[in-house]
Amino acid sequence: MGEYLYCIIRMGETPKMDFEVRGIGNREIRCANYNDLTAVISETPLKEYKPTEEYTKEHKNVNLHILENHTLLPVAFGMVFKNKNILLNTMRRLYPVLKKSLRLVDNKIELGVKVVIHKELDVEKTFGKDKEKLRKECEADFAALDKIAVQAKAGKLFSERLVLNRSFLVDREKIDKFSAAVEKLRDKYKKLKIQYTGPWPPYNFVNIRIMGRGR
Amino acid sequence: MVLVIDDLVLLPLAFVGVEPVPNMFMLVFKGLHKHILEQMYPLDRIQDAIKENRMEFELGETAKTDYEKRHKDLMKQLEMAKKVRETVIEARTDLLNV
Repeated sequence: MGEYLYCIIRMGETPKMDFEVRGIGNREIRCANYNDLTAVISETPLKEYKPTEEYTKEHKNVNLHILENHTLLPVAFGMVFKNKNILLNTMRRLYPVLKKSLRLVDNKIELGVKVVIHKELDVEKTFGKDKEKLRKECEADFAALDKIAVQAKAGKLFSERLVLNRSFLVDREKIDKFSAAVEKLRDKYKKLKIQYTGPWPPYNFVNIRIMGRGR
Repeated sequence: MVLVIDDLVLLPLAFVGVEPVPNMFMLVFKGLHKHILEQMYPLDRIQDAIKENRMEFELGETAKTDYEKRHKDLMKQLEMAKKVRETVIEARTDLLNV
């Protein structure tokens, strides 16, 4: 059996280490400690995990559960180690990077904002060349969110309905302020849909991929 | 149509061997081949469609059953696109000994 890795947290950060969540394949969540770091893992058969809906949901659920009480470094989906020793050796090798990444995301979470054109509207007919103008206007207004966040990143516009797709790294204490700013923008852009999601593990700001393959 | 041209032109090369074929000639075919693969098995577009489907489900625009059905179809397309790319590229590499 191998070890499936979900995320890395600080050891002993809080006394609450009894995880009330099950891992991939309904397996028990356990910890592997190296120095002051803890890897959140579950036992797993040695195989390549395809990112199916079920598996990715299980992976995400574990990280969301841990995120409730910890600062975490999310690990890309499908990271399986042959045994605990290899995992601990990897943690030893990556220790400085892991520590640095943990400092970056300390007490922070990720929030996502997408601005979307209504489905029933024909994007080309309705906006035409004005779509670019609308995008620029949105970017300028939504820059207000960048100021509240520690960091912001533009995501891919994977749909022609998308006007803006942005991720934000936000201090936990500033979530309310950030949410209020989103609501203000929602009022201004009533003709568009605004999808506000989170809190998420900081996938877009640190995402550990060990030994090549990731999500 | 484009695939037919690609295969028909490339096939004789396998029999005559690679050595007499000038590098530029091979480069053109490699470029053409890559372009065809991208047109026929657009990985990026399939991945974008997976994300769009998810977004529409999260926005409450798509029913769960419809979302799941489309997701399954798209995942199949994605897997097929990856498999075909790997297979074709490996076969060509072997065939042309490059």
